Amino acid sequence: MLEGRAIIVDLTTKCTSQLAIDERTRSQYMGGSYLGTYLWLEYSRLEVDPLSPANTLVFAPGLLTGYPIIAANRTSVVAKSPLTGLLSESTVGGYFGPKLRSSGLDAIVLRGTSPEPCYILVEGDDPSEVKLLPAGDLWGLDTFKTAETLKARHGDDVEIAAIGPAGENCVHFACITAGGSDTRAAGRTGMGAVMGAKNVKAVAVKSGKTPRPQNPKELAEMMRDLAGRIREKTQAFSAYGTAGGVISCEATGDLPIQNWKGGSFPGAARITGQAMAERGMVVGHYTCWGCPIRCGKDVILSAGDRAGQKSHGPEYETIAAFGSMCLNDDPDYVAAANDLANRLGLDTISAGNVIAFAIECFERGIIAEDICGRPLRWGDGETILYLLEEIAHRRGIGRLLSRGVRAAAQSLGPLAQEFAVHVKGLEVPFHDPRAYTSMAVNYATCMRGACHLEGLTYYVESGTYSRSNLGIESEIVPSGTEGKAEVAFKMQNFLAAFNSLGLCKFLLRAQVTPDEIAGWVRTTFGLEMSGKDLLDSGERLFNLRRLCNVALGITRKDDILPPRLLSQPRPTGKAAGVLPHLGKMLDEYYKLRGWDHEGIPTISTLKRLNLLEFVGKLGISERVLSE
Amino acid sequence: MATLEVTGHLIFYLPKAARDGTVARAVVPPGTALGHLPGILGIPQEEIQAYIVNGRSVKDLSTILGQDDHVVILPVITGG
Repeated sequence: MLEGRAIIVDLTTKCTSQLAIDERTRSQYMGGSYLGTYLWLEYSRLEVDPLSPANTLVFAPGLLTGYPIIAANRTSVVAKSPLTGLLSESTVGGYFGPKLRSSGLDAIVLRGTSPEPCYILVEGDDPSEVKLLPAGDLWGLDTFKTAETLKARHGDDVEIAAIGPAGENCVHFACITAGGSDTRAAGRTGMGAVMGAKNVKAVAVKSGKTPRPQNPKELAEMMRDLAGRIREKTQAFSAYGTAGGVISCEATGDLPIQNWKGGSFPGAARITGQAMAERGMVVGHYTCWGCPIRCGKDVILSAGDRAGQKSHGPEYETIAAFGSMCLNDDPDYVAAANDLANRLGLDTISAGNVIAFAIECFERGIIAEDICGRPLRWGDGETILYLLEEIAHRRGIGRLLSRGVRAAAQSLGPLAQEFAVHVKGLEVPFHDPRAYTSMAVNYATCMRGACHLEGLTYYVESGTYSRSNLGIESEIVPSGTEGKAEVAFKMQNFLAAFNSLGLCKFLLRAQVTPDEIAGWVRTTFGLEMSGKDLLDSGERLFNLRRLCNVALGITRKDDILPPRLLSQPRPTGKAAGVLPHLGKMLDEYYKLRGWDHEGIPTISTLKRLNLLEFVGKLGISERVLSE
Repeated sequence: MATLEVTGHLIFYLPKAARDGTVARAVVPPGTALGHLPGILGIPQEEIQAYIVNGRSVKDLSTILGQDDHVVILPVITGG
């Protein structure tokens, strides 16, 4: 039941082959990010140039993805990131992952580089059913048009993951978009640039057979119970999507404002999901595979070149990116910028940070108008649309900005570095660690750089996810340091398991527990697993990725927040005056993890997690390890 | 009357006339219990993170509001 298979596609020679994944490997590495990491390490070395043919790109649905389990629909994309230089991953929901699962595959591994633009058509799990087809006519199309064209060519039952012009041009924060205009994106860390460097425009997957769990009746019973809880706990989420949280995040000091230097933003009331609904912008809802929440929204655009057209509605992160971060309270321009970024194939979190950074550079005279091509203004929607195009096509100022805020700030000098907001090169997502300080230790230690989804510790601090589900006894006070390291440690382990299984993290809203999820694995595969086993597997994945980072030179010196978040408090609002005491939390966190003072896993930790074999494999000198 | 300041997305449960930017305002008679506010305002209890009464967080929902009390109602945050 647990044996699996992957297809290896050598883009350089156009050869495809099959890799059998034995039961032992699959039960240990499961799927998604974990299996993807294992496969990447089998085929690539950590020192590769991220945009070279030697950087393998792995698509891996989670172990549970595509089975009749609520919100089990995510696929991980794993490669070395051009943005951070770290082995990284990005996950995407929608329908692509379940379709890939139905083809019978646990992973598609792309090696080498195609000599000309191509796309990959997957019609089954045999190498002869995976075809490389020419994509000269698709090159240059946006992600929506690419999906439409491929559906017209191969039928409506094909699901597509594609890059846009940003990926083709190897913008370091280009994403891979699934679902066309019903957009879901493997957004973070520039996986779209890796795909573009390989000359791969899209991966298209045709229908196959729906997989059957080992005990369908028992699983169906579990899902009935879960569905009721989800419906009860996510009503506002269903109505407004993540966008409904914008105004609440502003109220709690969590919403970043004006490149992270503001404290309050009255305009949040205009760009929150409820306001968009009241204005009549929202005209429909959509959902990912197997999910009753339907957090996706359709909106009618009223600004930009596509005014009057229907498009994907902006999510919370995107509203923060193109709204409060840029002091833009015009919902029409937020929606237009979201549509444009999705079509171009840009990660909206990184793009919003980069644009706000550029506006501040212009305001301070660090970059001049003749370099920018036009004045860059706070609160100006046209500035945002202009910069998105320049970045995606690497034109003018876009050439500098297309490598992310870290690289841009390094080029612009020390003053710009003071307000370049990133961790390990990944721009910080829009939950402020000065409002929920557990996010400080989470951002500092995440595997891929600043990532909210690796820890979602603000869910625990705000009460959205009950701390008792993870056995956290002490009460958590948002502005303090007490207990924060434990929250980060436990949530990171738990959510690493989510990424292996292919589960959407919004399931947390229904208070799912590790024991409950382990039950789904047991029922689906007959694999004996407890909640503790699940958390242990998450801990092992987290430490494997930490070892990769250590091999690339990451230590405590890199587990740091940017100066603006560590030393400049928000001036007003509920989080005014709060700064996270990162050093104290980091000491506690390293102890809980079994890492030394420099943040390197100790030998006893590696033994406990059965990871010692990777020390030599990753080229780590044993001299850096302590007992 | 005790004064109420509702914040975050909770303002959308109140009539437009009660909203003022990112907050909405209301009053309740003295003697009202804190735990009765969700019902009075039409706000689901599970979407409320905290009640701040005269600047201090109050968890006891049986607390009775006095004539000049000021209550800030904070939402559970959401977002992606």
